Amino acid sequence: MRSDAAVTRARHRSDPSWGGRVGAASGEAVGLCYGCGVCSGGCPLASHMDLLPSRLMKAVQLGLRDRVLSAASPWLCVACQTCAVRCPNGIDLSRVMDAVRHEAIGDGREGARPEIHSFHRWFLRTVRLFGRAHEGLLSAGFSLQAGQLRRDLPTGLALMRRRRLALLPHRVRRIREVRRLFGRAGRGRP
Amino acid sequence: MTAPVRPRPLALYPGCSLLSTGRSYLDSIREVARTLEIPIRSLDDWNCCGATSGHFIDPDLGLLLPARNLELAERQGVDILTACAACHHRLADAGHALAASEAARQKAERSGISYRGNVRVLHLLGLLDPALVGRSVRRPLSGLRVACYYGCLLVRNPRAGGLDDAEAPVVMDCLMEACGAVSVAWQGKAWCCGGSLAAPDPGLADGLMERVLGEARSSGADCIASACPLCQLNLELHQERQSGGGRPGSRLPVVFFTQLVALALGADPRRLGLERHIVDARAVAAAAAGSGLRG
Repeated sequence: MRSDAAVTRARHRSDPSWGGRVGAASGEAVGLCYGCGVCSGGCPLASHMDLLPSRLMKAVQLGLRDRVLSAASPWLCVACQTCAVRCPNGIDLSRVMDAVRHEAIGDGREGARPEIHSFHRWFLRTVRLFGRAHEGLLSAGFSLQAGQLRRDLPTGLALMRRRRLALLPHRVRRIREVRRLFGRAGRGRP
Repeated sequence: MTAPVRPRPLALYPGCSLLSTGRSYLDSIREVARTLEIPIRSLDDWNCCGATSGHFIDPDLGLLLPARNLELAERQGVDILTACAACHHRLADAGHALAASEAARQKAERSGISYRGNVRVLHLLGLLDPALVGRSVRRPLSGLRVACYYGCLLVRNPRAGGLDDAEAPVVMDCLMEACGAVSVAWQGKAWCCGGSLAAPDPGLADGLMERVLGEARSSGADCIASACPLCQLNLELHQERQSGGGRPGSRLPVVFFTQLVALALGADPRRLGLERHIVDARAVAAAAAGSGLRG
């Protein structure tokens, strides 16, 4: 007969070693979290999250990989670092969110908040193209792909009227050096 | 006895936004530097720091993109002067990682970057000493009530260290007071504006910005002073979305702190990009010129 804990772990498809791997990938000591909840209390996005930051940490410790990787929370984290400077154990939770998000992307689980992923991809695409972010191309490309032109056009026009959207890109001369940083194919490839 | 270390010359790292949506930040920085006779050149061939996106969706770019700029600065024999909060955070964080971690250095070397760790990353707010600026003030911003807004990334940098206290910073307040303005006491100075979330999910970010603006309004501020091109843009676009361009009375100008410093130093308001603001900021310049903001 299996113990209750084993049943629970099986139900959640727990992988107890996963927490350690997230810790290694993030560079943060996730095992130190004792669940005080200061991160969740100060997080400006907590009320919109499906898994509070402190709960996410617990889920990582328990190895609930599926639960964490399918959550929207890592996509809503804006890396404001409020939790990072308040954590009594010095854990930078935004780096844990980064590591979890990277793994979700590698796992093909971009469905939690695809429009947020898309925005950051467009940002890096312009960096890969020119060496510097191009706010005009980034906004237009993202907005068209997201089907949000009607929503975003008024603010875009307001900026253009005030000559705040440069049309021509500013290019890095030695662009090959920058493209080399993007490494293997596919990362931010236009 | 060691020889005194001579400070290396500063090279400005403007960052991508200052060439586009944050142009008035760059214009006003140039005016301030010119008036105070601070020689500033630009870092040659700099690239984007990756901002939030670099570390958000990629395990390496958050380190590698800023690392190339640090290497460039080292080769050019300069220290880096930052203006944008995100650039400052990313460059300082990468500099710290490369100094502290052999793994980070090896990762950078594999991408062709050899950085020995000799570059200081300094933000404008750390450079502009209030006492020094105060001595050069020609037109004090008398009576102007400023809500100094620091946002997140300038003051919160868990590894490299923030510019000031993470919860209750005062460096910009001191500078504004040195310029003759009144820096109002308010709770929102280090609250988050939503950052890069404002583009893909403006509805969500609007809630955060309304909190910041509401707090600034109830403090009785005439304007918000920002040290970040994204905070500044977000707070302006938010007000544009909320009011649809109408009800100008309830709108709160959001200016760059360097525009206020330049005005106090006697700069020509027409050289500060005030006409590029979405929420009319000319009243702020008029107040600084002594005509009074509240009639």
